[in-house]
Amino acid sequence: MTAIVGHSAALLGFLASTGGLLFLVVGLVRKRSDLIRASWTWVWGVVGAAVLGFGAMEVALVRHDFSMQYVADNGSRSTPLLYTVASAWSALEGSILLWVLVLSIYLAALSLRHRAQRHDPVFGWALAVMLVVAGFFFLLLLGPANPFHTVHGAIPTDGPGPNPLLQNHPLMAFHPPILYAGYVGFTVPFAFAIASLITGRVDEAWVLAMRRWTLVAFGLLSVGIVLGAWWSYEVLGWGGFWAWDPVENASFLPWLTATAYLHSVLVQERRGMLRVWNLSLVTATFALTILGTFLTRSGVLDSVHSFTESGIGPMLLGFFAVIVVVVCGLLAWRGDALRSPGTIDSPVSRESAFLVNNLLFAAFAFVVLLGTVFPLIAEALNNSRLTIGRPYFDRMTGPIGLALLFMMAVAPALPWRKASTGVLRDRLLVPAWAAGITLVVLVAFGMRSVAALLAFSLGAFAGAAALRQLVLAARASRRAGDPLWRGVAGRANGGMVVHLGVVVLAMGFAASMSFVQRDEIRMHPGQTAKVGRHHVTYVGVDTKKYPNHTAVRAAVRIDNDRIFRPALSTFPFATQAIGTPSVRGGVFDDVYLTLVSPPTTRGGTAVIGVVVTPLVNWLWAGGAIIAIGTGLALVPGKRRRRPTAPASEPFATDVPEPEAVPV
Amino acid sequence: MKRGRASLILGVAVLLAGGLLWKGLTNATVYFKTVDEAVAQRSTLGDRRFRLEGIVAPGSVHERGGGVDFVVEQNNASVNVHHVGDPPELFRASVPVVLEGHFQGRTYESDRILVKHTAEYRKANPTRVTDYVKP
Repeated sequence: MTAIVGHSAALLGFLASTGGLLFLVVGLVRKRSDLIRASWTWVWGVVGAAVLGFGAMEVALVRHDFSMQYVADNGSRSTPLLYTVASAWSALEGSILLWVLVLSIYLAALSLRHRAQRHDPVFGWALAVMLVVAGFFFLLLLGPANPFHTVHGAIPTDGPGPNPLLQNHPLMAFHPPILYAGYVGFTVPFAFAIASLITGRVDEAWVLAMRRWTLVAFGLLSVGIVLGAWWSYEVLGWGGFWAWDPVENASFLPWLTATAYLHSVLVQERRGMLRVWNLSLVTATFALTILGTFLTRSGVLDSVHSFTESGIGPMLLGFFAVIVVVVCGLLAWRGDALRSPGTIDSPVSRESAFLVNNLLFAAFAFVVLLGTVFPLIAEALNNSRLTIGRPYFDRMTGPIGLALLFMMAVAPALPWRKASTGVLRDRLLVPAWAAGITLVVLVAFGMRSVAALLAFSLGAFAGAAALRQLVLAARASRRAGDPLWRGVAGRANGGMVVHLGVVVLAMGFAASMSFVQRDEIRMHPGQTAKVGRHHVTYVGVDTKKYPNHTAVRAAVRIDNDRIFRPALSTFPFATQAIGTPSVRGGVFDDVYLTLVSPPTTRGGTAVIGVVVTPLVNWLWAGGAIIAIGTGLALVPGKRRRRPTAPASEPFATDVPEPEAVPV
Repeated sequence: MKRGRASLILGVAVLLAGGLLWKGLTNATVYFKTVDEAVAQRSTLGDRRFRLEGIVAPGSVHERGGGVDFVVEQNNASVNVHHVGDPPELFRASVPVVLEGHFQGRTYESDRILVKHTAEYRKANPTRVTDYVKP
């Protein structure tokens, strides 16, 4: 029954998106407002269909309706409710359904928020693009990724449940939806970019309308990526959180281009420059989300030759190709209108700093993309199977990351148009001192790794620069009689908070990469071993039954304090036990324990894996600060200048403190 | 004139970046060979590091101080393996394994054994087996 409801919902969604698209496009071309108005009803049909389809899936999962193939494959009576709900996105078909749901939420939000501009052709065409994307994903649900198939033959009485790795940590319930909310969110700015090209209104208006949507998607994607790293740290058991794995890269690539866009778009707002570049970045971000879905969902990573087995691979790849071709065509068609009115006056200015920042982000994205797809290209062309190891990613992205930290400190200090040395000296004095002191202190404490020294002192440089701006802004806000937090709200200052978060995260990344200590120790009960500055004592093992699995747990005391219990968990239907790490988090370092092998005899020896990693918690803290900063950037700040004022209006030459001081 | 110089600088920069990327890629490339492929390409592989995939031959496992010797076979080809270090818990005869190491003469010097389809293997190759990627 639920299967029929779900299937009808998918069909309804597809019909509503194509129907709405038809009305909308004909209405827009013929300038018939009655047709345009009619299309809005269809849009709500799309939204309703997505909600209905996803609801049907959840109902089937929660009620253990094993007549549905998806539930029979991914559900189980013994799985706790949280993971049952989350198993809606633990396999391919369900994740496409989640995509559709998220997209329709954006569709609804967009329609409500821009109610006033609904007769504007730019909005109309943007809605049309969204409907095309929605229609495509509904088509996937009807075809190769149908989650509503019913079981052939006898209905099973129970199922295997989700993959053990996906029901071993509560983060599984949050990380995928948040990541998708960010991922899918980039459809909105993409739709408006296309709409502006179609209508020929390539000025700064659409850019301004899209500012908050892009920020929301950026914030959610950032949080989703950090949560994903956290999940893999807590679950996968190797003590790391980021492996440059294609699945991770797929989520990181659009983040890079989106971040580049958020910066370069400021140049377009202020100076009307970089129009083609910004449109390209918005498109690249969206196209990379489709490419990422293709990479992770089509099975192409198992073997280039197997991805055609489930129709979804060719469809996603085809969609990606269509996006690229259409956008290139549109850019060529509107080439004349895209010529920018402004030019860069001086190489030492805010706009050229943003240009450098963008080149760095583009290079970063290219390096990651190349490393991700190179094994596929090699297999397709040469039939040789290979992997690109971490060294490639670490060595290639490291210098780019350091350069970005440097730019992060310098760029906010540079005024638009042209900087004088006096202004620079004034603004960079404190950050430079912070960097210098950090460097001296670290060298005095015996740190000799050049890469780590550079990372930490550049981090101090960038962090101090961001803090300086925030302190100035908060002070100015208090002088003006506003509450202190008003000073750090608004886009520029929220952006500085995001910078702080990125610095904190980068420090965690650098420290945990450079100074990790790992060991695997065979221990008798009562034996103590030392790893780094920590003592671990193996106490003994016990077996505990959970609703969905059985765990053999080792009791390990850390530093003569609390006991932690890394375990080996056996799930029914799974052939192998999976490790369940236990982590003692700390501000300075984490002690990460795994049970490598339990004792074979009573009171025998067990092998305990110990990983001591410094500053891991800084990663999660950095993620939280980025989220807060993005939130602050969404709140309207105080402006010195109307955003709709002509972009290349001549500025006064004595530019005051950038952004930070509200007047 | 100014334009010509700019494009020259740009060209040199692109070439440099390309060379750097190529070097990084080739240095970090780890080939993945089955036993028969490895035997066929023994001379070209030299002492280069690669991953060797095969099945542990029954009756071939001999523990020795600080390591283990065994034979991996696949598709009627076999290679003698000299492994340094403790083999993992699930390592035994007849299981599929992925080794990491290089040829030294006719034996394969391995320093890492991944038993396929275990948490350990999944860790190293998350994309090959995790259902997160492919259900």
